[in-house]
Formats: sequence, structure tokens, C-alpha cells
Amino acid sequence: MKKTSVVRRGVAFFGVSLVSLGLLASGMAYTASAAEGTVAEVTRFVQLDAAAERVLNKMVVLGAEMAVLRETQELSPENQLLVLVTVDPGSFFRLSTIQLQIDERMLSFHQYTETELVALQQGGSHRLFWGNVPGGQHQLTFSMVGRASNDSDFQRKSTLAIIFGENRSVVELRVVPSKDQPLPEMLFKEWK
Amino acid sequence: MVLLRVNKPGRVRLLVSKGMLGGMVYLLLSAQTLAAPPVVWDHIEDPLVRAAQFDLLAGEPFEAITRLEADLAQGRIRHRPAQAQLVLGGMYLANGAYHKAVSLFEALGNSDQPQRIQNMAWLSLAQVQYQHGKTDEALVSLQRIRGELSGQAQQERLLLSGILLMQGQQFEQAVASLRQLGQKSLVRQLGEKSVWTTYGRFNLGVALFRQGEEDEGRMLLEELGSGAADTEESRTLRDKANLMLAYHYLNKNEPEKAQQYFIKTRLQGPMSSRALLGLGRVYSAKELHKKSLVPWLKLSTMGASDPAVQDGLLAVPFAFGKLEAFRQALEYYQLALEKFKSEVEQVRQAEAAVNSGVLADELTRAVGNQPVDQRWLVQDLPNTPGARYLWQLFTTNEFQETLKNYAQLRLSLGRLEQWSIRIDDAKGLTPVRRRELEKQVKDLQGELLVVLERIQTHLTVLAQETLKGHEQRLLGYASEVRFSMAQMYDYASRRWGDEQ
Repeated sequence: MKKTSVVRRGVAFFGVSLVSLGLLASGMAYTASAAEGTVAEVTRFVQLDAAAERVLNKMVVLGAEMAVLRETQELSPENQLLVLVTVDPGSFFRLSTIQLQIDERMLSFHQYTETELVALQQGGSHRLFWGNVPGGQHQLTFSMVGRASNDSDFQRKSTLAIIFGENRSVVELRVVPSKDQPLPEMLFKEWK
Repeated sequence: MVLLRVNKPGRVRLLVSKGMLGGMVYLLLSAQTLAAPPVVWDHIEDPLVRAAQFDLLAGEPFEAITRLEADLAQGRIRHRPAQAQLVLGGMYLANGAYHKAVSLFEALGNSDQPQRIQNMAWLSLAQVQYQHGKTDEALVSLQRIRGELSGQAQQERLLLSGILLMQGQQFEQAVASLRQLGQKSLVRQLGEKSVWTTYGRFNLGVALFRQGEEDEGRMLLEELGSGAADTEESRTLRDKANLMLAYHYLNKNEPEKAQQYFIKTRLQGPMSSRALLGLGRVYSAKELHKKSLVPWLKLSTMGASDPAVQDGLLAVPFAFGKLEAFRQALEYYQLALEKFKSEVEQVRQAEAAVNSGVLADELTRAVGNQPVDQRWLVQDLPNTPGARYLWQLFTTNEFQETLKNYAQLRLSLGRLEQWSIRIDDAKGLTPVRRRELEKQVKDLQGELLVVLERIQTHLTVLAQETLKGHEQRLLGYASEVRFSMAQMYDYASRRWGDEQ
């Protein structure tokens, strides 16, 4: 008789804990509500996000002015030479390094990273050299090392005779697939 | 409730983010999943625009934008300048400045870019807008896509569209979008096991449930929950599908049906605690209290910061009580109380750290140490006491985007300092121009500091609120345990009194 009473009272006692067990289901919901943004929070986030964008855009405007200032400080406006390297998108060869000489004097050397090669393949042009060169007639010599589409290493060299005036010169070296051999060839373009 | 996924090589997490959906959850795309690559434009003519695009593609969006803006300001872009504006739009987008990108992309329709490139630009814009919480705008951007995209991009478009529609409670349209995702032609392109297709199927199952098409939704989730899974990500997704169905039936008081899905869920992995909790509930509902102790006892040994484990700590003494094993019940209540107290202490330590400003600094440091292409992704928790109570918050898009802004602004402060030195050192500047530049730097520093402080406050409040929620829950559980223990002692003393 006493035992029956114990059981009855025990069940009644643990009935309190059923409330806890009821929380088990809410345990799933709780994890959501912990990170769930309120309307006020979302509004605050959107406002802050817009404020940050406004300031960052002002950074860009000032950054452009600072880029111009830097250029005027580091380069003379006369006899500026900018040399760009471009690779035909979809080319199967792989550039490794490019060296640029002016009248047999080293001007620039660059070894390409994986990311830069992807940037080239996707239509970007790499600034190989940007600086001042003496006016007059010069020879630009490009030496290129890489791997051809048939998996063999290649080395190519090409020279461009050019006359620099007072204006800024932009020379583009285009590395393009050769029509009749696996090695790429170098083409030049002077931009006006 | 929305789930998002966070990828790290060799690691997968399925995380709960936000937005209740009547108990049925769908998978949300995290910033990592949606990290839109820069738009690759077709045949950019001007070499200077291409040079800036190289900087962007090489992972330097700020340098790319400032260089191109500088070239534009100096009138150097002479060949098809309209292209430069589009490229600039893509650069702003890559820098997260989607408002500016939207205005520049307005010219897309009249541009010389092929339709496929225009479509990719709209998709990228939609992805960035979605990350910034602009769901309506993201849908508008998606609607500007004409025709179909290729393979992966088409899947991203349909999945994002489905999620945006589900967030807007437009389940019928969401179902239509997600059904397209399962089209055979598309699946063939990327393989049956494509993650996009798998996630899409999961979300389609949930959308069908919400639309009232329960049978079809269940079949889809069952298929997902029974299929072969050869990666950790797909195994976790399989578990999620089974748990989804199991809890659905458990809440409908159909424990037999629920059990068949619970037992398919792995006892390892991110879903294991919820599976153990649910399985115990199934046995409990069937009055099999001794059996319910098996999963619950296992659950109670797991990390107590997990809400499911906390529930398990209460469930174990409940089951012992049902079995009339009162001494063990008391022991396990005592154990639960100790664990809750210890967890409260951890949460309070985390609160103290957050209040002292450690959180923002640590997060910024963690962000700054990452490689360039993942610079703004929080993948590991900072070494803050009790930080595990915050990981869920850390992985929400809102938190990550805010953090990204915070880190960019701090980086900008450093740039402003460099510029200030450069202005000081500059030769040949007229006094007026020098003062002008100095003022611009100073003004911008002031503005930056104000926004930085607002963001820091926002992040801190978010963390404080999250921790407060955890603390209140733990304190509630602890007081419930104390109440139950008091009742138990009361009962024992009365019983002892009776015997005397």
C-alpha cells in the first residue's frame, strides 16, 4: 500500500520534470532564436552596412586622388612608358617569367603566380613596367619563359624598336598561340 | 529557422541561422558558398581598363578601383569608355559596394556585352545583395537575367531564387524554381551528386511540405536520407533530411514513424546530439523509459554548450524518475546542476570578454590573418572563453558582412595614415592643394571612426544578446533542477517521516 503511494507520488513528482521534457522540443527552436535577427537588428544592420559603404566609397574617391599624387611624385609626366602583358584567353601555353630590357639594360622581370596567370587568362593585362625612359629611339627586348601546349618548356625572345616622344607611351605585349607550332608568339601594339 | 552551410576544406558544418519556417528548416547559403567571383567581362578594349581588371582578378579590388578611377579622372580611358563604367561596377561589387554597382549596372542592357556576361553580372549582384540582407533587391536582380545560364551558374541562380522566394513565404514559386534545379538536363551537366542539386532537392522537399504537398516532400527527403553519401557534406545533409522527417513525425505524435528516421541518422557528426535527443523522446513517448536512457545517457556525456545536450541532461533524471529509480534521478539532477553552473560561468566569462571589447579585436585579427581570397571569412572561433556559445552568431551572413565592413574600415584607417604621410612628404604641392588633401584625410578619418564605433557597438550588442539568451536558458534549467531536487528531498523526508 505504501509502495503504491510512493509510485503515485513519484510520478506526480516527476510530472514537474515533464515540463523540462516539454522543453526538449523547444531546444531545436531555441538554437534558431538565438541567432534570429529581430526587425530592429536587421534595420540596424542594413543602416550600418549602408553607412560603411558610403565611407568606403569616399575612400575610393580619395584613393584615386592619392594614386594621382603618387604618380606625380614618382614619375615625371614626360617620357612615361607603360608596358602591359596580355595573354589570349583560352591559350594552352603557360607563362612562367617575362624579362624586359631597354637597349640591353634590364628594365623589369616578373615571375607569374597562379592567381596572376588566371587573371591573364580571364582578360586582365599585367603592368610589367611603368616608369620614365629617356626620349628618342630605343629597343625593347622581351624574353619569355614558359611551358608550351605540348608540355615542353619554351623560351622566346622578341625585340621592338620604338621612338619615345614627350607623351606617355603604352606598349602592349600580346602573347598569342602560334598558328603552326605549339609555341606562343609575341605581338606588339602601341596604344595612342 | 534557416540552415546555412559553412565550408572549410575537410570540414563541414550545418548551422542554424535565422528565420523560423514553421518547424521545417531549409538550407541557406552562407557567404562562403556564395562568394561570387568577380565578373569576367568580354573583350575589354582599353588596355588601362584591362590592367585594372588584372588587379581585381589578382585579388586587389581596392587598388583596381582607385587605379581605374584615377585613369578615368585623368582622361586616359579613350577606348570605349562605357566599358570602363561596367568594369568599375564589377569592381565596386567585388568590394561589397553593391549600391554603387547597381547604379553602374543600369547601363548593362544597352552595353556591348553579350547576354551571358550581362546575366553573370546580374547573378553576382543578386548574390552580393543577398549577403547584405537585401532579399527583395536580390530577387529583382535575378529577374533581370534573360534566358538560361550555363551549368553551375544556372544552379546557383535557381537555388538562390528558391531560397529568396521561400524567405518571402512564396512557396509555390519557390517550388517551381527548385523543380527547375532538378531538371535532368541540368543535373546531367553537373552530375547527380552535385552539391547544388542535393541542396536544391532538400530545399524543394521543405518547400513542398510548406506548400502542403507533404507526400512529395517526404519522398524527396526520404530519397535524400537513404541515398549513398561519399562526402562528409553529403552525409551531413543525409542526416539533416532524416532528422527533419523524424522531428516532423515526433511532433505529430507518431513516434513509430519518427523512430525509423532517427535510427538512420549517424551518431557522429553535427547532427548526432539532436538525433540522440529525439531517439530518447521516441522511446519515452512509447513508455520505454529504460530504452530512452541509452541515447540520453550517451547524449549527456557530450559537450554541454549544445542545447540538445542541455536538454539531455534534464531528460536523464526524468527517465530515471519514470523508472522509479529516485536515487539515480537525484544523482543525475545533481550532475546536471553542476554542468549548468559550469556553463553559466563560461557564458559569463564570454560576456566579460565581449564587454571589454576583446571580441571585435580578436575577430579582426582572425580575419586579417587569412589568405587574400578568404580574407573576410571567419572560419575559426577566436580564442575567447565561452566563444563556442557565439559560433552560431559568427556564421550568420549579417555578422560576417558587418565584420567584413569592420575589418575593411580598420584597414582604411591604416591607409589614411599612409596617405597623410605621403601628403606631408609630397613636393611641389600648392599650399591650397595640400590643405585640401589634409582636410579630406582628416574628415574621412573622423567619419570612419564614427562608423567603426557604431559597428563595434552593434557586434558587441549582438554578442551580448546571444550570450544573455544562453545564460537565461541555463539559469532557467538550473532553477528547474533545483526545484525538482527540492521536491525530491521533500518527498524523501516525508517518506522517511512516515516510516519513523
